Amino acid sequence: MDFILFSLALLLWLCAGCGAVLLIAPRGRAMSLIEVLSLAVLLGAATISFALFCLGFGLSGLALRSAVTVLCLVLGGAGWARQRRSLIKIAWPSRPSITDYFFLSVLLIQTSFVVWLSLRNTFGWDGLFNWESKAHLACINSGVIPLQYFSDPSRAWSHPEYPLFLPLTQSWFYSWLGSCHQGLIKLIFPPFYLSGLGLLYVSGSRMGGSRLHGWLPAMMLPFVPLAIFRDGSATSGYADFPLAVCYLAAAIYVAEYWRSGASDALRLTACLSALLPWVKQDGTILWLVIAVLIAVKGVARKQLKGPLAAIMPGLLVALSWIVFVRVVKAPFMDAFLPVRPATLWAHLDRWPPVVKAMYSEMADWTHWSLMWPGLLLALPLTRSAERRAQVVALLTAVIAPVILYSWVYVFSSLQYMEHVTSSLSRLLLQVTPVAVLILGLSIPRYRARDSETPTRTQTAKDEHRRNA
Amino acid sequence: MRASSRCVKFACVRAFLLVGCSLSQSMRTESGMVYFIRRLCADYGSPVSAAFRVLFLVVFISLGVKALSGMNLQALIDTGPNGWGAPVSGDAITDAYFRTVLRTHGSPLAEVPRPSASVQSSLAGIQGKGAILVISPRDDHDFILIPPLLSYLSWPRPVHYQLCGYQEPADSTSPPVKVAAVIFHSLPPPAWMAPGRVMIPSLTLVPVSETAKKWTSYCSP
Repeated sequence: MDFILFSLALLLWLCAGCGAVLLIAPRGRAMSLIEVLSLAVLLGAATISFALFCLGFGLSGLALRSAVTVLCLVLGGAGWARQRRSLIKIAWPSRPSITDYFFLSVLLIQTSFVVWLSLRNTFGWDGLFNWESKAHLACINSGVIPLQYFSDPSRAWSHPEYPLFLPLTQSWFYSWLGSCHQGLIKLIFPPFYLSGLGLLYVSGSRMGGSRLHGWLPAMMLPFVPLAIFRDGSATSGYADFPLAVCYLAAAIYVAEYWRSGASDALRLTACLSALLPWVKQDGTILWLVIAVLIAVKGVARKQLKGPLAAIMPGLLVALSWIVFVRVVKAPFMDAFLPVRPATLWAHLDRWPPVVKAMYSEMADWTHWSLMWPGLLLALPLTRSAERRAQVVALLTAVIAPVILYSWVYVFSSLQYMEHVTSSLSRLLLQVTPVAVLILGLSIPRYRARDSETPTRTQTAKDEHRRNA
Repeated sequence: MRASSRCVKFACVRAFLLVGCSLSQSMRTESGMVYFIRRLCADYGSPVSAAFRVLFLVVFISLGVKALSGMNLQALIDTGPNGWGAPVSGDAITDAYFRTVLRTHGSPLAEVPRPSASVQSSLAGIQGKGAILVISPRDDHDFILIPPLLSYLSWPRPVHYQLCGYQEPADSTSPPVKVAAVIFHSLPPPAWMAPGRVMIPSLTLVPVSETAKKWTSYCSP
């Protein structure tokens, strides 16, 4: 019975998500079914958690669950109606080849392994005490997190100031199950993993021009050990992996915007990047990177209105959450010193050891395999005029957060090296799917028009011409 | 296992030789390094770079598999006292945390098949308003787990902790005004208190109705 109720909650999640995707997608845009379902996982969870948060101020228990259920069905129905009017074209997967079957089998085996890991693994510290504990609290309080929790000093260790994307998604399942079932709740993480795989496949094949470019990054993801096991991974109960998938989605569409400048890509970027501050506080930094990428391209294209409108949703979400945290008097940014030039100057000596630690972490193949050095393989892609904009956007989306995160520790109010040791790998994990996408694009042979091999004579001629 | 590690080593040596040969060839001229980089960047379809990229993929996958196999995943196959159903039971996660504590203290796991349920039922029996105070020895590393676990199970009752073995009050959270129960972790209750009730091995609950005493008084035998 529990499993049926769990499946029902999952279906409603997907229904809301599909509806949201079809309503957000610009008119006339062609989307593949895999793309719609992958985005539905992210937008569905965001819709449900946000609805539970907002409606929770006035409703609780059965009334709250019924209201959110109606919202899910209405969204699904509205999206379906829009699609029926042929405003959105959904492309079904075309006839697969033997190679496709091979990769599909590999992915099925990998996904089964991840589901098994999710079930067998126990949530890590943050997974239980920072995220699931809030869902548990909502579960025993008729679906609503009591306001007194946010200002309870004896529970400050559970970070009441963290956003509620994950806890309220978990509490949605608890409300359908009728109890706080810690065993079944582990199963909400495989959909995020599948969403990541779907996005890697869709974006890889779209950017690379062949299905192989899509299959490869999807297949490579589980070979980054930290992506599927240990703290922060897809099976650990942490918010870092869902955040990484949301960031991947936003990065894909911002890269598309960099290539085409199309407003429909901007619209999807706006909605997906707005999820980032709602998933985790670190998401605000990731949102900032996306916002800067939008702004840079907007300025280059002499567009103002579109990029500005695309930045607004994320800004609104981040500010609203900060206001809420202040109003309920939750502890805010306890782990960090005030971000001021004086603090920066006083703790500047921390930066070199942090960078050193970051280098050691990236070079640790037991955590990342060859992912970080492998990014060098993407450099040749920047020579292709067709791909340059996209690859530069994606590389920036990987490198910029890493640089920003190295500066974040300068403001740590804890023992900063302990802070680095305990959280660095998780921060790097947040950009891992984007890095894997770049790797997947780099490996297969690319038949670009401008990829001819220069001989030494040609190189010399080029240099001569440039000097002249 | 040995064969796979030999495979990885072989692949690494091949990759090293491949890069080494290309480098040594290209560095014979003055601007060899620049040429090498330009060639690597531009030569995106030649057999050499294709082989390099395939080799990279093979090494990437091999290292990933090797790293995962070194992460002790086989421990997840160990089903524990409750068999295959344990990881998907209703209290699967908190039970796993309590089992970690029990294991540290050498208590047989079969004695307490559902530790979370046992603790929760004991906590439910605490009368009156007031906080729970957890007393723990400083040198027991599990102390870091116990207060959050009890706090998780005892909502809305606040949980505070105090550590024995250090003379600094900084080793405690801000003391509560009124205490409804004191839970001793890895410590027996002092002689001046009632013997209390063992919730699970290593956790003893003593219901009280008092204003919090000086924290060191709970540490004395």
